Amino acid sequence: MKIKTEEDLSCKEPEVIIRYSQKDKQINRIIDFLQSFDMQIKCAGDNAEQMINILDIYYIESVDKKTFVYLENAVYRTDFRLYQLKNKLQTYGFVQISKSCVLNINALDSIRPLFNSRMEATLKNGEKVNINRNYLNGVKNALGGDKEV
Amino acid sequence: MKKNIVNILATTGISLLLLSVVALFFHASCIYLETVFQAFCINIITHLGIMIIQKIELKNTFTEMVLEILFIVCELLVFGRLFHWFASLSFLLLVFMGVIIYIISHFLNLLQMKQEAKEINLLIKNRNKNQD
Repeated sequence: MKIKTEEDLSCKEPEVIIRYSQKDKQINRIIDFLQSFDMQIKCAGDNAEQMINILDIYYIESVDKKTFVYLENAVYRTDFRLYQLKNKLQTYGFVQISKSCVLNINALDSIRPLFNSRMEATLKNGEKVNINRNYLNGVKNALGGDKEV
Repeated sequence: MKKNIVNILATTGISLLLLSVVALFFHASCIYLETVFQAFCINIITHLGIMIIQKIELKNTFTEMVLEILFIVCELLVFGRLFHWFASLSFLLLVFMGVIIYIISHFLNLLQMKQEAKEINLLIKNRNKNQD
């Protein structure tokens, strides 16, 4: 893949043109990735509401009917329900890994088996989350670049 | 689905093998044909039960395992009576066999999971390589 950058002082916002002969899985991934740059979700911070870019999210967890958004070094609460975020973000590399957790596949560093049909995923910030076996195919598909998982 | 069928057949095989070892130990000469189908039936129910327990996704692995073993013990108690197994086997021996099969199945499952983890780690590695 060739990448060309061009400086244009008259340009008000960055513009990306993707030239391809055939729209395949890789092209779709590039488009999803670029679209995710502008995608934000509203979260509640310590003092005020904050817009969090979805690229910064490591995983989203639901605890006692409250939804928490985990970043590299911070945690925010959001009013969205887990299933809403899962539906909204699944095209951007987010995949359900258990009943209460949705993971950003780009934050995944490695995985190891645990006892009783579970896997332990280590994220890029060193944090560990459990993956239920029922969701392993979804993780595999997401890593393979499939859109719907 | 395919994986579940394979797992049920595998544990049925292990059950029958273990039963043969116990039978040999007690100087028995044969296993009835109906025992084979009874063991198959018990294994289907065990797998269904364990699948339901794992769907609950308990936070604590130990609690989940205790629940699974309890389910197996209750199942053996009910079906042992139904199939008249206690005429030739003691309940404790039956439970012991159940637990042994459970442990062996978990060990085999762990091996399968290790292979799956290896495949996923390779996918992650390839993905990261493409992104660099």
